Amino acid sequence: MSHLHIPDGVLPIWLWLSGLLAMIILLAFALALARRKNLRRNLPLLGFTVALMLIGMSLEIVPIAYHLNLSVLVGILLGPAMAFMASFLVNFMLGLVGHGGLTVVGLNTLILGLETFSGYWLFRLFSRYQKPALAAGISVLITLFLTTSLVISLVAVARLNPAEIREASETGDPGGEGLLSFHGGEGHHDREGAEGPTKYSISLATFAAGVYLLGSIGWILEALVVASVVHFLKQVKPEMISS
Amino acid sequence: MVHLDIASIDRWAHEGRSPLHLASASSKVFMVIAILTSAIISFDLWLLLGIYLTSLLLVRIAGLPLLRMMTLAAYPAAFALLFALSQVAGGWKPPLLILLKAQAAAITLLILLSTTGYPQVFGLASHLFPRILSDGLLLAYRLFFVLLELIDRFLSALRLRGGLSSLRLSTNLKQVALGLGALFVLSFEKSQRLYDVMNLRGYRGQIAPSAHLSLKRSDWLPFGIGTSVLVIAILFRIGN
Amino acid sequence: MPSGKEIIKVSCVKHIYPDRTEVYLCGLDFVVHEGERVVILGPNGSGKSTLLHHLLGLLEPHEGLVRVFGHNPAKEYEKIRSRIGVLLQDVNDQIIAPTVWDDVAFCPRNFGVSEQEGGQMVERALNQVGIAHLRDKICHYLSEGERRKVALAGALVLQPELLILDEPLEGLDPKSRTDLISLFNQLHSLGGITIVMTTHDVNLVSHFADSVYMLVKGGEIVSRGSPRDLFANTERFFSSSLDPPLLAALFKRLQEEGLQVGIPLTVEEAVKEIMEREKRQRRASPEAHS
Repeated sequence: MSHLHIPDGVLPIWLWLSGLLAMIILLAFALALARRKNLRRNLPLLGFTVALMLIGMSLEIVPIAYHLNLSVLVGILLGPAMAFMASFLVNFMLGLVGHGGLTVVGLNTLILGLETFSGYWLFRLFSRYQKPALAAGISVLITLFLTTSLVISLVAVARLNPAEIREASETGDPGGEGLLSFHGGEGHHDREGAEGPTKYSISLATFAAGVYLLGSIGWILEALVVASVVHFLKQVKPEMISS
Repeated sequence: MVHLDIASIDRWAHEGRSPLHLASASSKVFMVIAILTSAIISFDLWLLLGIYLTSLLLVRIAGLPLLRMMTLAAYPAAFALLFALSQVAGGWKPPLLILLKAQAAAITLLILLSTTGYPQVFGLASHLFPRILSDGLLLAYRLFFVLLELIDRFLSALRLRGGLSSLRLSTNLKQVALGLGALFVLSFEKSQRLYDVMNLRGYRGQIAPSAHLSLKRSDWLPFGIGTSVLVIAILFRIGN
Repeated sequence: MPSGKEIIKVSCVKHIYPDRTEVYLCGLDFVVHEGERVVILGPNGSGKSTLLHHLLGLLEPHEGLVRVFGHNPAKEYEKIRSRIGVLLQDVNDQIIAPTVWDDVAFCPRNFGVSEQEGGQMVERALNQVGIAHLRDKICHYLSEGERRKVALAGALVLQPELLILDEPLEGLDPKSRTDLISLFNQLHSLGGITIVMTTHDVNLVSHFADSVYMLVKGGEIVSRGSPRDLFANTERFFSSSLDPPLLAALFKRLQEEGLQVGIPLTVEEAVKEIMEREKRQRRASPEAHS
């Protein structure tokens, strides 16, 4: 996979709520920016690009479930503000079809939105020195590396419970449970003789290794496809990538 | 492996006649929120297994293909599995918990869109979004099917002319890129045409109205299941 | 033959597309009167759609005059929008909303019509077109013919005075074409609606048109007249790269062979023509026929 969709039920509540809040703020900002450029005029293009992203995600280019997400391409075509809106719409729809989540739509939108944002600016930068196709390919590789790293960071953050940390620092007691805190479930009795909640070893390295390894194959595939598409667009309709 | 099949999901919603299909969108949204909340707040393995099995039972009640639904819900399992790997030092329970949470959530959401027409679901969601975004959502969903028809024809033509092969990755990539490029160009032109049409038809900011929160007789099922699961989950959580 | 006031006038319009293709809609003026059914015939690339797009204000001419209901549509379409219904060639371009009801209700809703009044308008349009049973259906599951009817209902919902149809019969089977033509004729006879239609199906003309305009490649308007005027001179079809209607071609050929026959528009007229000729011959030489 070139892109990870975080599902529901995995991350702690405070994290995905924060993601939702951040998404709402950025979405409001993006809407305001887009309205200045006549959003209604661009509404059909927004609809089409969201549909295209969904189509890209439906195309299995290698029969082991690798799919495209075309976020960098959409960023290049729509610009950061509209592309962020497209990211939200895509993730909302994906959440409804079990290909992501609804509670985590904020985080997923931030990740996809970052891809479109980063892809747009990196493409603008590199296309000054390289042909558009190569610039697009490089932008995809860098962008997907960045967002994959972001996902790993989110996972790392998710392993920390702020309430637990606070309580531990105040009382010295590593315990603390409530309706909203995340532990590994019935950690009390998982180890013989252990008392209180079990502290799990953080195997973030294992997680990161798996994600980078599997992800890098997807980055390369996505970079190749996006570079080819940009090459095609440059030949057939150059105004699409220069606007 | 089919990991995203919006067309099939939409068709199931369109053609189904099960009790869940006949229930109102509002009641099913309540059920989904209740089950989702239960999955999120629960950390008891047996309870989560029960929630997961409940979601599978709902799939059967809705007359949906069980194996297909589980396959569609398998994609988010990949991330959940990787995330769970980071907790492997804590034994087998935490990874299983995470997997069950993710799967129960994914299948429940799939049930919503597989048993409810998208206009009703998006119509309810439009209460939460600015009008322009809900219009974008409706447009995007409709345009997905327009473009899907085009890409299907393109892929059929490719297959007939020997342009696609499971053995030649580089060829496939090139052809996919060609098809996508053409689709992007076509979409760009069609978007300008669509804007013209919307103008011609007098678009002033409303493609379809927000859905009313109406109820039906068959709502007892989603309300009943959603409420039961949520109450049990809360009781378990408080008890622990 | 309608003799109402002039509601459309297009006079020597020149349009240059972004790819530098030039279309000159010159020659004869394109004029449509109130209550008329006008068919625009022409081969591919003759500028039929260009002409329609100018009428709809989607294109602005570089030179020339376009007036619809006295207004310049490129600049003042807002003033005439509610008086015009449109059916585009590709109905997928025209259907916007998710369900049949929502799509037909699109115009009333965006025009600020109340939900109740809008509902009545939608119901009437659906019944006019015969698709009331499809009201809750999702548009992308409809057949091509059903989608065309949805688009047509959407075009009729505000009860326009002018209906503009861009190749409305393209891709339909013969039965569907006949049904649609009957529907257009019914709308015209009951409501007096003015209809402008583009097509390259010449056989349609006799069943529908009051006036026919013929275009040639490049956009020149070379002929204007009633179907009977047009059929009398089949050479005009060849100059427009069109085949004349079969009946017209057949009877023209018979005329050239010296037979005293007229040029019928329809099969019924042709039968009548032949039977009358037969009667004349029997009267002239009864012994030969006894």
